[in-house]
Amino acid sequence: MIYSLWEEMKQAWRALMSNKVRSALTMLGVIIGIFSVITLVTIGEGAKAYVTEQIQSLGAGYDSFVMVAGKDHSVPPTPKFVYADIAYMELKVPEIRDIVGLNPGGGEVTYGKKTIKPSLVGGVTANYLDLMGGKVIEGRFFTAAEVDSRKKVMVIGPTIAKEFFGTGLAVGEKIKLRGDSYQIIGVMEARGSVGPMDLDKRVVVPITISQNMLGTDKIMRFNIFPKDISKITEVQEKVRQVMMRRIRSDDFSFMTQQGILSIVNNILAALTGFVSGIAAISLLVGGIGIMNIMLVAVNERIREIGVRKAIGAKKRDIVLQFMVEAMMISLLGGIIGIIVGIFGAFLIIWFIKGSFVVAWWAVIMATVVSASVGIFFGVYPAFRAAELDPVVALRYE
Amino acid sequence: MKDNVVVRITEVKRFYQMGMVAVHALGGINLKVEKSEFVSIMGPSGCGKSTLMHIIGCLDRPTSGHVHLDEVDIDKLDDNELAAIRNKKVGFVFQTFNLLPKLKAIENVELPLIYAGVGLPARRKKATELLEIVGLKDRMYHRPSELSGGQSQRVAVARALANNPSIILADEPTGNLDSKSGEEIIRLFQELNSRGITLIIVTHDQEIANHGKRIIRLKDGLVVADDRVTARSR
Repeated sequence: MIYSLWEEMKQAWRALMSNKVRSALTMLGVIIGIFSVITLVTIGEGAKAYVTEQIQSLGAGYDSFVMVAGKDHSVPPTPKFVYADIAYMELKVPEIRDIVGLNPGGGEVTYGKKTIKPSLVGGVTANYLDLMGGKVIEGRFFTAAEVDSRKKVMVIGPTIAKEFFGTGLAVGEKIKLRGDSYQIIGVMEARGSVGPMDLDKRVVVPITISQNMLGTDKIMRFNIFPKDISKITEVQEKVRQVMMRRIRSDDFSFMTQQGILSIVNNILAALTGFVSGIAAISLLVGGIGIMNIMLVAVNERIREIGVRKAIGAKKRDIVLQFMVEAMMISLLGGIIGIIVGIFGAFLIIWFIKGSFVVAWWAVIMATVVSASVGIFFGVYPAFRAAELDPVVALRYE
Repeated sequence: MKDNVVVRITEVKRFYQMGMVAVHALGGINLKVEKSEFVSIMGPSGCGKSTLMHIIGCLDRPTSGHVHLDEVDIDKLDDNELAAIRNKKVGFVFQTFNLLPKLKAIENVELPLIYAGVGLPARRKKATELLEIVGLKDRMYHRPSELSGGQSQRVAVARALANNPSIILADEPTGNLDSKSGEEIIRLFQELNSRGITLIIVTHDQEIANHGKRIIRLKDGLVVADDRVTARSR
């Protein structure tokens, strides 16, 4: 049985190769179906990885959630949080381990005649670097006391330090930001980019000072770290209650990595469902094409079938012969679809600078599905061939 | 005596339904072929020669009557068992050779061995031996399109011999050959016969028939004559 299967495969291969154009055209339906699914799934996996990275660049790792002013992200928010809210929330919600406050802003920094536009001018709390990940390689980070007393101090990214001071010391120098002079007290370690943001080109100042800078005493965003990460939802709910009462508004929202990922997953699932539908139609049409071509192949080889039966082929052998051939067409189409799909996804992902992840589950599924298409649509032609009367088949001209 | 009977046909009838008319291809045939015989079946077209051949070769079943091949009653066998009989006990040689065009000569010879479940090394060896016997050692890896008619027919004979069948059935084996190649095929048959292989050939050529040992004449689906070929008629 194994022997004959191998023999059938060799002969099926030969039959396909002797009709290359026809075989290729027959495969097209399966190729397109599998290609579209594989491309989408691969891009989807890449998108998930990309979104995860983006969220992490916002600082919402798995151990914290983000509380941000504004409900609807399409409307510029009017924040109602203030610096004192940090202490208030920590008091009211004891399950909170720590809170990082962040006011993202823009602007330019000037030293002498040189001006640079940092990737981020952030007003942050003193625990920012410790909790969001990072180190100071020169000098130090500012203290809570300096934040409370609104000291005009600044910690800068290594790229900015290098551009302003070359190899010289940055700490102790003063640079200008929006007309105010800030003393540099530290330089951050190089970390590269997370998503679109170059972390090495950021500058941070005490969050209390940034309020001057932005002309408001409000805070845009908190990163809240619960003591027990498994209670993230409960903590979030408590914070919501506490803050709603305090600011008399619910104009704020929460983001967790899981939350955003689940939104992304939902979108991807909807897209995948849609493309799978198209792929299913394509596979159906492709399968009918295979059936059609196999019926033609049976008709072309009626005499061959007669000869094979005369020399001892059982029905099973003839069925196997044509099934293997049909399956080979669809499986080959599937494999080509997988390769082209992965390559296509790779190109797109490379173009949008996302991360490339091969979804092996999709590859395996595509292989199984394409083989099944061949088996399903190959059955009828194969049985038609096997049922031929050998005497009639041998006489067939 | 019983041990030597290869084919035993008893009161075999075969009708075909052609639209409204029932065509009597065979109208009650009795026949016995013993081991190592070389039988020629002759008769005008439409006399039922081919039908008889198909019935002996287990490609077709009689409408009534009994067929025994090697004392096995083939009426009692299902399609798969018949296929196995065709594979192991019968070797067909056709007028139009019926080689598979995409397969090399040696692969054509191997085909019945594949269906018999013989592994590649044993199969190759056997096919090589057979092609040597029919004198095509130097054409083993050629495709049918690269072979002459006579060479193709010899490949077909080698294929028919693949599973050491009890009987070789040849339907007009020289019909598509020039007289020289036809002669060669008949000589090959005689040689195989001298090795003890049982042969039945269908022909309408008296010359060819005279090379056998026995001539059966059919007319309108009935045996009308069954003669030994004498030395004189040869």
